[in-house]
Amino acid sequence: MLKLVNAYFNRLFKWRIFQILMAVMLVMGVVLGLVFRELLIVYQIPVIASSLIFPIYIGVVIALFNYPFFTNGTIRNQITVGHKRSSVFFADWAASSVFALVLYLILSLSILCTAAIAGNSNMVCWENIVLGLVISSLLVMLFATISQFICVMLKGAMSFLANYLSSQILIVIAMGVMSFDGTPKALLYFFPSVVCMNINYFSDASVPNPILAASEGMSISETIASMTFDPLPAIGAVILEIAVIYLIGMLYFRKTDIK
Amino acid sequence: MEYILKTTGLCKQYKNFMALNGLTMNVPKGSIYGFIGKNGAGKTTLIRLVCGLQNPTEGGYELYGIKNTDKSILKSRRRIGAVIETPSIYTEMTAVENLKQQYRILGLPSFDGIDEILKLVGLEDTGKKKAKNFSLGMRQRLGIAVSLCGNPDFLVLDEPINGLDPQGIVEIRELILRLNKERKITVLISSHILDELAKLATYFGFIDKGRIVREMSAEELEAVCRKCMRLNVTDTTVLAKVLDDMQLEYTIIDDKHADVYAKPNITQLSLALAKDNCEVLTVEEHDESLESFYLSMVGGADHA
Repeated sequence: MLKLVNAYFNRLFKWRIFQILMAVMLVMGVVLGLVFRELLIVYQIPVIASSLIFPIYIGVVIALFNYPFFTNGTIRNQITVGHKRSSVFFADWAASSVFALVLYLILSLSILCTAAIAGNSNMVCWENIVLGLVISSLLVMLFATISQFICVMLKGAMSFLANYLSSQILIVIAMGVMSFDGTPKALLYFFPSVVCMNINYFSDASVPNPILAASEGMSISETIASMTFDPLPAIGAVILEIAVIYLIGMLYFRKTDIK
Repeated sequence: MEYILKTTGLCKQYKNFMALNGLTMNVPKGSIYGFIGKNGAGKTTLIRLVCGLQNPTEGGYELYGIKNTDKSILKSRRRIGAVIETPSIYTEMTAVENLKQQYRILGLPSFDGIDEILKLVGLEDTGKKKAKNFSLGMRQRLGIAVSLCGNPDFLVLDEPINGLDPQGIVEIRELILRLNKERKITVLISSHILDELAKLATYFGFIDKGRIVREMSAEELEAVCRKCMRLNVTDTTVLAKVLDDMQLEYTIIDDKHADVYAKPNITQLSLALAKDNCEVLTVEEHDESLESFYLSMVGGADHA
């Protein structure tokens, strides 16, 4: 399996599109950090990006990464030479997840570092920033896992559209959950966007949560906005979601006919 | 005879369509096995099953004597190289990069041998040209080059000459012959272009409606498809005696008909036969091409 993982990562890191996207993320992160350096919400931009922008973005770029496997048939080269399908699926998942994660971390870290250097970071609680970054990174991995599963299932150009639409639908579902007062707290742990939004990123408790303040007038449930979430169950819930989707995807891939 | 691949009652069903229907075939070691059938006959389906891309609905196969249900079938597959329908290559990579990627997939410790493979398929001078800028023939050869990584001793080629120009067809044919002769690679090659297969294959399997209609060696096929004169005479016993005297090769078909594998002087033959009261009723050139032989078999299968 390691041979296969090595081959996938080699292809990923030598892929020109990935190199360009890394540069774009870095530049974009620095620019955002500079533009919003005076606003507290700058420290929550990574969380907002992971919930609203990255799902769509990841869906498309992962479809782009997986496209040659099925359209050019390069996945056949792996199965024909005797690799287990579960190994092929794992290598693809690992590369797809790292692909999404690296882009997200470059963007997030460049925003946070630029804001911290160029702006005022006195009130920032870095421990919670790291916690938010961990949970939002897992959210990015969750979307990467969903996107990879869709690519494996649709095996071709349709996966671009399906990934785009599915991420939109999942964002709408998450927003719907946020606006609904009666959602049990235990269930909310399975919505990392909600957890990340409720983390207090500032050491001064009197500072209003910038996301919630900015979203006044939008239909976010007050009960949910006032909740606090424990980090460990939140992390566990996302990992569980990733594991379930990964397993369903792998079981499907083991049985599916490849052309 | 040692066989690389043996299938037994192989079936594959796609929803309501039975692509393979109890297919049984044997690929001898060292042969070039031509797999002939029209579009939709089940050629590609069989190849996909053998390569592990799909699972059979019923029946099974043995690869190097290992059953497809056995876990060690994965080890047997390491000895296979395959080009199925279209060449499986990364179009954004060069020829060398494509081969390096396959070497990594195989987990080979070094890239030794890449130059040799590229030279073998005639792509040694492509340099930094990306595969997306290759001609169809070059892509096909690159696909074969990728399949040759890891020194396989069984090469599976599905319609490798589809869409190629005449020069490309000749290049691929020569390459396959070279691989078979120089590297002793057993080749399973499917095609519906019968004349091309006739120039290559040492064994033939004729497939129709998901079944093997007939398997035969090239020698057997040559005997069936040989050019000859078909004579209709009143007594083939006399004809046989006369042809033996004239030292001509022949086959007696029935009491009245015989095939003569030469162009005898008809006047001399008629005079010789007339001496023993045998008359020549008709003479016609008989030439059964591979195509007509295949069609006659497919027709036979329809009536079975």
